[in-house]
Amino acid sequence: MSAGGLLGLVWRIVLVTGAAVLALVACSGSADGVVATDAWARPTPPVGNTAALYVSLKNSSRIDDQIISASAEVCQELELHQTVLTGDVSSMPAVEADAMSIAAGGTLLMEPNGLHLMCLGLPAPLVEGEELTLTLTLAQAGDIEVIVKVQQR
Amino acid sequence: MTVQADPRESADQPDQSDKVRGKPSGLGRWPKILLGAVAAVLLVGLGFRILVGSLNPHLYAGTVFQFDEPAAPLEGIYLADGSEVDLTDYEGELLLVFFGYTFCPDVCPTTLSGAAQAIEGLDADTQERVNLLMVSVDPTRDDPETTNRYAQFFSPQFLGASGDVAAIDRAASLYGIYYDIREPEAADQPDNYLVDHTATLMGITPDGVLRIVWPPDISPDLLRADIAELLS
Repeated sequence: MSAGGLLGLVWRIVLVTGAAVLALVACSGSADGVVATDAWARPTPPVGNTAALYVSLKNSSRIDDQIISASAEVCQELELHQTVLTGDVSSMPAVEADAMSIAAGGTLLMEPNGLHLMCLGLPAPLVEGEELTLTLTLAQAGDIEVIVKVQQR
Repeated sequence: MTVQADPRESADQPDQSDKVRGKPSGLGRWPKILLGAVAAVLLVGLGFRILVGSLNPHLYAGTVFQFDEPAAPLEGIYLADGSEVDLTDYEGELLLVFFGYTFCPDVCPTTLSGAAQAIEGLDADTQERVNLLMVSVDPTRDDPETTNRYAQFFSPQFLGASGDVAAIDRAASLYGIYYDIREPEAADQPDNYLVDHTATLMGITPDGVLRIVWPPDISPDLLRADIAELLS
């Protein structure tokens, strides 16, 4: 068989496999209602005992949902906060209830200098490569466990 | 280069006298014409670059101040080795100044890792001429050693400094920094409190002037371009 024909066959396999994986991912997303699409935290310095966890939540259901509470074993306290830059002054009020809601079909985006989960009272710094478990309690979806990856970004 | 081009030319020359004048071998001419064309293109390109460069000077992402007053001294603010911060130590180099605190969960780590990324992308010579000093706005929890360990986590090149309330108040006021120590998050954990603060990055240029201020959410790429220009 010619090299071109073989390459074509390989491509077909890659494409079919890719489509199957995509279909699976799409299914698992809608089945869970609310899924974490990206969950990460920066490694933290050897001093200070705080961290910010960033989790993006996609609501694939047809009902609006809302974060009721959040907890992680490594955080003495975990609160949803919003960094607000007023001019260049950073303040971090705990957020209003409407900022915690995830509209049906929508995504709640957490990111640096914005909405984040503020973790206070870390017993030890977060180290690159580590993972920590976060439990989010949602009004509709109930408790969901999210693995947060510690990584430099 | 010309030596290499010449042999062919000189090899052609004796023959040329026997041939019809003005109709030399085409092969002998082409390299010259090509060379000329390449040189012309290069010259035009260089001219264009110079022209564009002078018409479009670097547009700073930070806010540039036009006054030439020397930056205010940081009296009573101490480094981890016990010495008072002396801005003249950084003359001839760029000193970035950031006011923050070590229990800062979001904006300080974001700004400091962004600054570290910006500096890492510079060439080695320029990198050596960039310093970053973090001054704490949390005198109760941050002594100079603690602030220094925090700053050095983001880059071994960074330094941390702190002082007593009076010194931090004075430094903050001289640098236009607002800060407000908030009530503890929970009454039974008096050490868990946040500090609202101006989170800009300020640049004291090699002439000792506080010349530029960047917003906290400046991208590493824009910051790097400004730093490179300030030190060019």
